[in-house]
Amino acid sequence: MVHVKLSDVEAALRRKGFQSEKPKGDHTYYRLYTEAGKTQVTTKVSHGAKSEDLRDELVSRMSKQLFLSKAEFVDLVTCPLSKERLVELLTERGHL
Amino acid sequence: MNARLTSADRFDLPPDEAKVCLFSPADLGTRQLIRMGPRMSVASEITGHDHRFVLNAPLKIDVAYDEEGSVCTSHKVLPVSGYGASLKEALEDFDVMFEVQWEALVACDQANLAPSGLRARNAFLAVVKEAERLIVNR
Repeated sequence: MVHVKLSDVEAALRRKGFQSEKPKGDHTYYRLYTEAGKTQVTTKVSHGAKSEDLRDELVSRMSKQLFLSKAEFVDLVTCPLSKERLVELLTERGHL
Repeated sequence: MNARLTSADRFDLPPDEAKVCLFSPADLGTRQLIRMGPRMSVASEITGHDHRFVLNAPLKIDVAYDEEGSVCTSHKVLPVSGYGASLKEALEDFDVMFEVQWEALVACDQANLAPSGLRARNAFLAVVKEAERLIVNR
């Protein structure tokens, strides 16, 4: 079971090069920007949940949307995974 | 009030019945076979919050189910995925993600796009025949 707070996720995404887009309902979409510009990589953050803790299922969904494993996603939020490493990983995987 | 199409409109069956049982539950000792749903859906139109997209050809949407029962919808080429507790929810989420990507990658200045953004933009333009802005009273 992974415990990740919504506010930590949003702060980490902003630190790692993501920018929020126009909200759709209760959801905010964060998109990755690199030095080359705006990418196709985007993830949805839901604000409808009652708890500040993200459920395991949501962590799993966000990981998939970002083309990361769950462990890599947690590293992205808790800091070991830098923006540079994220860009490297997504480039290796053919998403940038 | 604009009559908004829902993803359920794509099915011949009501949403609950559209979850076709491909395998009958069977007792395999201590294990049960899980119920499987459809693996693909087809959309000829996508309706998001603010846009309706008429497509050049029906779009094949892959459907997957995880162990917890969540449904994931995705497309092989377009960077679009949707999630939900039911197929209907996952398809509606797919529609909104489709719109989010369209607004960010197509309805924008293409000079700002990274190579992956540009590739996705071209893929969307190949799929969408017409994007109509909806006027919805909320």
